[in-house]
Amino acid sequence: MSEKYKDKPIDISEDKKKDGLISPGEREFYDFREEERDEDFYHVDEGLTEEVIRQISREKEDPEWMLEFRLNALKVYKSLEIPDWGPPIDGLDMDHIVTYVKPKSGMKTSWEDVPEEIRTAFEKLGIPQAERAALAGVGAQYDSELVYHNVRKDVEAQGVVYTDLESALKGEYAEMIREHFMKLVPVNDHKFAALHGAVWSGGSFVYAPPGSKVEIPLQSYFRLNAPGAGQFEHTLIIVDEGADVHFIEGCSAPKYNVANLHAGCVELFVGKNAHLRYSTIENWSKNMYNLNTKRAICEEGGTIEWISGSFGSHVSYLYPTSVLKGDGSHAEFTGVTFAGQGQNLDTGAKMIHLGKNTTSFIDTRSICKSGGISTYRSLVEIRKNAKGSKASINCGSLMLDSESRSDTVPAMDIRTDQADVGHEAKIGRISDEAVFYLMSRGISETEARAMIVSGFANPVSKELPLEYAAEMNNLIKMEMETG
Amino acid sequence: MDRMLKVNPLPVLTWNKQKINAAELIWPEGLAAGVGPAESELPETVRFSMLEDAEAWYAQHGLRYEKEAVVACKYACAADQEFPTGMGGGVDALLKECGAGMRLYEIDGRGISLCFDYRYADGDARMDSAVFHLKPGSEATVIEYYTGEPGSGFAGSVARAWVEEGASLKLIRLQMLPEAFVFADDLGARLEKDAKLEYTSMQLGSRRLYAGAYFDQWGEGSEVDSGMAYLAPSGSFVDYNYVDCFRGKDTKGTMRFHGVMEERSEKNARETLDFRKGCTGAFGDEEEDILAMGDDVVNKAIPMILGEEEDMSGRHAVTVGKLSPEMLYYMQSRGITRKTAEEMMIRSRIGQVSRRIPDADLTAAVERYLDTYFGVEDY
Repeated sequence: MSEKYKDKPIDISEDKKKDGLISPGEREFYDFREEERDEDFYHVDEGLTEEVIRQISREKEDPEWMLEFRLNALKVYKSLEIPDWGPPIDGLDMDHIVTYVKPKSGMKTSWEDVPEEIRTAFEKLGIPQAERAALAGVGAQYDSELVYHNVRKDVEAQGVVYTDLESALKGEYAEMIREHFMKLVPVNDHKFAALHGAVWSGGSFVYAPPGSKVEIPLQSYFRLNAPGAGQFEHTLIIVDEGADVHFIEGCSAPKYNVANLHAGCVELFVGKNAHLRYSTIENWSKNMYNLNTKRAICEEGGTIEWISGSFGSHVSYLYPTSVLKGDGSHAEFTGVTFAGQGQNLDTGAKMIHLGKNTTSFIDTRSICKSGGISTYRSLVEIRKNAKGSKASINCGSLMLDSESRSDTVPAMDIRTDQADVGHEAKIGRISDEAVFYLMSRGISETEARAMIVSGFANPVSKELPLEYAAEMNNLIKMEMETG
Repeated sequence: MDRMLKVNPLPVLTWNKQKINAAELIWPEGLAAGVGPAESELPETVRFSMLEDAEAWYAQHGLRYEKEAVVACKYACAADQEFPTGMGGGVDALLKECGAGMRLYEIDGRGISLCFDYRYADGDARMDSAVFHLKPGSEATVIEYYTGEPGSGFAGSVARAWVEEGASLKLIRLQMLPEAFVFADDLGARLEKDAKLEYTSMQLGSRRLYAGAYFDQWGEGSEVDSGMAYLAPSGSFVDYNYVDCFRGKDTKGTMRFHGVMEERSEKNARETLDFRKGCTGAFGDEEEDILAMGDDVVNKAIPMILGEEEDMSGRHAVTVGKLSPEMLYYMQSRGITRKTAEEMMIRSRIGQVSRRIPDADLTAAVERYLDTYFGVEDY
């Protein structure tokens, strides 16, 4: 293997090593860490053993079935191989990952009750402010557990449940959780799904009853603050018949000189004629291995829309999957991926058509610069019974220099003649003419290039609420200015 | 040697569950080295010899290059071959196994036409291999024509083309083998500065087809224009791997695939545009157009673009369609039966590529083959 493309150790210069943080100015908006006292946190030992799993389960007061589930997942994890087809992850040493770090403060429903250093972290990320301005409910996870969860009364009044998964597991919705938990993403799906099943902690549960409409979004924000730790939150959303929900997921972490791991899992159940929009702005730090699994299943006439912005992490494997089970169900995936220096981001989507007259649409933009590697990988599968189905895939890649690499790896598997599939991909560079035109209007070259890249990513940003679109454009600007 | 070979490897791996990273070819017992085609008379400007040690010949002419670095847990097609072909190193191993030497044709002149007629008898199992070396400024048309007597067998044919500076090669492969024959059709082409290759592959017979092509565009300004048409009747299997590797500046490559799939046919298509560092100004364009004519088809495709050069442009497009009810209604309202309408659509797909064949006798042979296929008796 070429040295260039081997998984390299996390590279932090000497001055950055002093405090374990990247220097201010580069990505300071996300790369901060509030002073914490060790005694405020509980954590298990490094590594992955049966004892560690039992410890996590005890700490979380799991029901018995969940402990058994975790132990079985651990067995499956040990029996499965690391994928041989994606970016290398040999820099990830599970023997040195702490899989559970719990703030001792517990979960609060008022920001005032959240410990100051944690509250400050979320204030810097703008979460309480966003909650006041534009959200119907917020969940905030710090390391392995939620520290804050709240939902607006008018949303609750519709019967919508938005809570942390642990509470749901023990309360009124315990049976519903058991019925759905890791049924869409079984633990034997792949090695990191099994890992998730063994050590999952945190995450959100949403249940939208028939006919309910959550007109402003719910948001969960995941912050991983502990160096060398893993975050394994589980998001379970059930949108019942005719209901409508927009859910936003955000994530970030400060950068350390050791590897961190994110192996979350998202399971979305979209009922008959229901609609779910799931938006993500992912900005993990560049020492993160982001091995996340997201999957949705749609019943008759249901719609799932994925909006995805992937900016952070050292290595990503991320392919949100839509299973179009019900006749006439529909899925859309709109995504942008920006791979900068030291990043190898393997992202895309999967569409599985099972029902008749199902439709899917994939529209992605990949950008790479400063030696970043961006791979668009997808699958459109149309099974024999999915007659009358239609799928359209459109992927574009923009290379900003010749140090970087951009690949598109789209697979199609069509098992009926009663389907229409169209696929188009383009790869290229920023045109000199466009840069020249903008510069002739008094715009600097850097700004001109950033504007062109933002325009290229516009299909995603225009689908996001204004605040998040602004955040995404800031991220693009920041990426264009660094490296 | 294991009788199951991995062939047609994807340049970049993807999910194993899709079973498209490579194909499995089971080669028959008693596989023998081919004796070559019935030789046409060679013009004076073509020199023929047998290459017993192909690798030594590659080395002697500087064609041998370091086995390539692989990328991010991915491997390059060329990694296991001195002179890469689409089907990959397994085919070279097979040639060695059956002791097939390479027929070398050194072409030094212009306006040269060569036609090789490969005929197979029932029960034949042969591997043939040829190298076409076009000296600088040469121009040639090479036709390889595969037919057989009714029956079954295995036909393997590996061609390599080294097209030197300013040379131009039109290579046409027309396969009309009986349906019970397995056909393994492989090509590797290396193009130097301003070289041109027009490759036409017509795959009409054989119900089990493996095809590969690797276009290695080292030379600045080199051009590849490739067209493939295939007919996959009921119950047939088609597996192909085409890679256009752009290395030189201002290289251009187009690949067009036109396929017809009837019910219970299976097709795996691997189509890659691979832009290597330094190929500034390169342009690659690839299109696949499939007409699915029946149910229970397995139609897999993976059209990839790999890029490590900023200053290039690549595009691919795939359309999978069927005879639309509106079109059918329109035709039927004009007195055209469904069967005739379908036949017209198939002929149209195949015709997109067959019109590139510069030989009237061969295009007539294609028409006759299609007439027989459609059961037209009065041709």
